[in-house]
Amino acid sequence: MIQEIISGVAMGCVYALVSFGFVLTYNAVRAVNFAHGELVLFGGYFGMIATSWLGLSLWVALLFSLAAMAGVGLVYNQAAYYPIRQRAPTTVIIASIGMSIFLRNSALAIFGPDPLKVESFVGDGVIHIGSAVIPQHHLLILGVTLALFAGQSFFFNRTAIGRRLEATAQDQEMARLMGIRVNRMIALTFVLSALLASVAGFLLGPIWFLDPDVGMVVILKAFIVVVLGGFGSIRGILVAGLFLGVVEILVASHLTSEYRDVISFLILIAVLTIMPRGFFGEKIAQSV
Amino acid sequence: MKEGNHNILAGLFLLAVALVLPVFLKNSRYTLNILNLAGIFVVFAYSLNFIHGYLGLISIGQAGFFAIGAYVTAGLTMAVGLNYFFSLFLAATASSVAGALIGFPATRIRGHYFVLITLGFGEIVRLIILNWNEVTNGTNGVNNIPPPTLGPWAFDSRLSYYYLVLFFVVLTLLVTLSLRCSKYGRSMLALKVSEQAATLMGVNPTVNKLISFCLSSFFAGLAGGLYASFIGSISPEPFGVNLSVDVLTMLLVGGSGTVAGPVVGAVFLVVLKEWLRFMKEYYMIVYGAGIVLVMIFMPEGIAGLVRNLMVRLHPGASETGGYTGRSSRC
Repeated sequence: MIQEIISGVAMGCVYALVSFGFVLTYNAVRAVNFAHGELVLFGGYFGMIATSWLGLSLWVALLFSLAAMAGVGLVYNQAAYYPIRQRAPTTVIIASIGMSIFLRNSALAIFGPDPLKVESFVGDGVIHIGSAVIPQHHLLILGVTLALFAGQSFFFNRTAIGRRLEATAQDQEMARLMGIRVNRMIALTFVLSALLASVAGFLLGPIWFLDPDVGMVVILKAFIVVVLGGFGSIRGILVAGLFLGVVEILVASHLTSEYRDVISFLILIAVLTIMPRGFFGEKIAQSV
Repeated sequence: MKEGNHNILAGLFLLAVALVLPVFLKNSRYTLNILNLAGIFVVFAYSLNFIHGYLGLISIGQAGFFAIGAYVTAGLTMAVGLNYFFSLFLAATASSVAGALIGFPATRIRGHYFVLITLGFGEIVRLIILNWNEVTNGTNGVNNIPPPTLGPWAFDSRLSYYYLVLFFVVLTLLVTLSLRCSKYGRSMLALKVSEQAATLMGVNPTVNKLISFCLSSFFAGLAGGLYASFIGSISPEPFGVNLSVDVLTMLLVGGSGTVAGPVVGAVFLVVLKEWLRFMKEYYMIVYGAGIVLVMIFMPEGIAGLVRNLMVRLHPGASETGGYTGRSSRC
């Protein structure tokens, strides 16, 4: 039981990290980024390129992946958001679906359909606590996630650049009047989002393996997490991510493994219908 | 001559072309196959138009209704032994009931939440089809689905199937056109422009949205039923999010909220997919990049582009084919 809950927590942390990056861009531009799952996927793939293809050490590989994903974030902003920033949110959403298809199939062409493994920083070791066997990697995931979520509050509230990003997300017009370069801040948000995707991909790789469809799977989970947490709320995401991770593993091991995802999506629909504010969020009927 | 008459004449002319077209293609089974598939997707694209064109909502769970239509049609004709057309009608109705069920919570929410609820629905349908082995035969799917029969006739050739599909395309088009002129269609268009203003004018948003969902899921189910007997075997694999995205792309590339848009988009993309076959796995890369480019350079789709060109060439002439234009007389 402890073992299951720890695995669920680790999975939930990954969901929370994926959703975190996703929500950053959502808060900044008010449009759902369907390609975020593929960004996570490429974060993992860049790590794999650095370790397996280039033979770099893991820490260098992480830097490589972060740098590459920062570039991807910038290009993404320039190609699929900046030219249509004045259009309706639906246009931006559809463009992100197009990017998602583009990136997924690029991954298929480059890396092939087979699942590939990414190495973990802490190896394949396990820790015994009582009867439970806990992979060290799960503890790493938990540590990194908690550190990032603690750090974001400092970053967005206490640093000058973080406050500018926050101001842009809250009200673009007002931020512009205050002398903030809004377009730069949005580009930076896409970069930050891609960096978080890179970390999430690095942590996900060792437990899930990477194949081109992983992006679609994690983004669907991120949607559930983001709705549960209340759209836009960052602390809500952490709680909801952990909740979904634990619920999924308990459902899979005690109820039904085939219909695990059906139950996750039913939770999504139920929350949207009954408790549309999620755990901590905005009111759905008012947001368009 | 009034402009409305021009449109009717143009429509009749296109129908005549569609009726005689196979005479020139009688020997090309391949071309007829593509046309049949395109026709099924035209019906499917019109089904999404009821939601997106009339209400401005994005659904990416449309494949769920398509799958319900396909599996129920196959089940009723094969396991129960009902007549194909009766099965098709029941399947589309079943899909419509599912549409009402999902539409009820969905009418309360907007924007990306609506997108997510439809996405969740589509995935639930796919996962149930995948896992409910006793009924759907799981990953192996249902094979040897018989061709449609009506009394002594069987639609077993590609040519006869072409006319069957054409019949349903025209039916869908007529429903779309008559909705546009009805109280409900006008109410929906008013809701699309401003829900608040429309509600103040006495339009009931819940009832109108539910009607739109029911119509949409009915025709999506119908398209699914046509697809099942056309392909002859169905499995869960093609009914994923990709199919929902495909049909959405068809609608947007053609031009959502226009009469011609779904036809243009579905035919264009089905044919384009065939032309690009030589690119193999790179095809989908081009396709994804293409969607982004369409959103950047022609957000109103091909139909919108043509309309804007016409307006530019003949300043003064009002636009044609748009629901919301000045000329949307009935």
